[in-house]
Amino acid sequence: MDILASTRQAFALLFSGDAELWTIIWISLRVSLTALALATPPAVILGYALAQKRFFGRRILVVLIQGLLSFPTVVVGLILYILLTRQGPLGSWQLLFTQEAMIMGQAVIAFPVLAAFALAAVQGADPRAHETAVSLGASPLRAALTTLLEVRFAVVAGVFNGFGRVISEVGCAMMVGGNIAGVTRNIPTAIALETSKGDFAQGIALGVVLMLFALGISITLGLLQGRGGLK
Amino acid sequence: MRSKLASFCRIVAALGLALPALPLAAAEFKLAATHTLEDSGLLATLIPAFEAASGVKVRLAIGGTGQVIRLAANGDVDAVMSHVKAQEEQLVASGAGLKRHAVAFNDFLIAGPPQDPARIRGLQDAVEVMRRIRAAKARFISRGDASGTHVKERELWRAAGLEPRWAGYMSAGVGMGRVLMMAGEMQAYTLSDRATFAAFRARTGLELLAAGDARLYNEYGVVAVNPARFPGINADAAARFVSWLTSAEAQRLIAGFRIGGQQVFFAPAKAR
Repeated sequence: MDILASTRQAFALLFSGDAELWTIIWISLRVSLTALALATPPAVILGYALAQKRFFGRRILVVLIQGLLSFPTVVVGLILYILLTRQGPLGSWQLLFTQEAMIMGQAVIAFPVLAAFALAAVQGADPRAHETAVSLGASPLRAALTTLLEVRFAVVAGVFNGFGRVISEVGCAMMVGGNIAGVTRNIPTAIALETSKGDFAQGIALGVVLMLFALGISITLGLLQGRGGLK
Repeated sequence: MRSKLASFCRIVAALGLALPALPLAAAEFKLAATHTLEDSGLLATLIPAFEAASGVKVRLAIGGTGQVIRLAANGDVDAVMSHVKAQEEQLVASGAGLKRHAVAFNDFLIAGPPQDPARIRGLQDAVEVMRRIRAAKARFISRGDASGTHVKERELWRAAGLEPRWAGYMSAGVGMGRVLMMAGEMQAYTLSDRATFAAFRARTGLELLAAGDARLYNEYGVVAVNPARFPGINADAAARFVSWLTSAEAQRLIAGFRIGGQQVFFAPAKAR
């Protein structure tokens, strides 16, 4: 297989507005962004609570979240598959091999990343912001918002890291999505399929898009850190 | 920071140098074979028998016919087993393969949910089956991976003069066993070879709804990769494998392979 020819074909595909290619990219973005939108609020609330509050089971939760950071995504896929299969406890929802199933999987995969970043951010925050807010008569909710606003760049960094993890994730997406063309075929599962077919051009084109995403994330994070006072 | 990066680079370089040096047994034989042979369980019977008879250790690469033929055409494996005769003959004609031998045959069938929404149960005409599935806009899962089964499915759509494009038509791009699992989950129709269908029947709850059309004939062949084209390959092991696979002993194993008491592979008439 001629690498040069494949690469040239790949760029032709990218710039010709190939409908199939852009559908795959769109599905990837839609699934991953929805998953992050669903996972971020509860994860940030949990991260904040773990940093600020002292309650029974807190340490266990912190250890658990840190452990889940490196939880294998195929195991998430396996558990979700067992839950969603027709014979499974949630079988009646008929969600296996749908985008919803992929979103559920990615939300679970992103959750510990988001929570861990929020936890670290709030722990590293200047405690005076919270104290000042409280002393000025802010409600606990108001004080929490003040603190989170103070560390918003670190929280957003977590969101970007979570995005980086789910956008490139192939194991769970393949298992619960099924790689159905135009429905659940996202960038990673499409690359896996194209390679297995021996068709490298589309794989390379999608790989380029994925790497551009990664580069975009890293540039955005760099800009945020420059501006966000993470001195 | 710089020294950390440097030591990281050194580790990566060391790993890169060490990888090719990992022990690869000299007698190892790389065989590419299709999903249906693997998912049906036939390879799990054949390979240990060949290893015991020859002392050669087999390394398997599983993929669709399109992929395994490509592996052979690139000299990435020593021999290939697949089930699209035209592609196997093309491999030989191109000079990358030595000679095609028929190994086994069975047939394709159309499996689907017991409710049979497209009313295809008992039909023999495979093209009429596809027409009815299309007309009913029923769910159908296609392999979609350029495999032998996918090639056969496209042949049937072409014979029916239909474009397989409707909301219920799903192109999965995975192996036969996984497509059958998906069809079971989604209560969809699919084209399957008889052996993999039999192996997955209990797990999927799918039923055999239509079969028996001569166009559904499914023949497996083996081709050894040409050592004149690819000097690095294990030509000796490949030749031994091909001659073993076409021997009376292997053909007996193939014909004797049973799933749930049922014969699912047959020895080709030409075999010795």
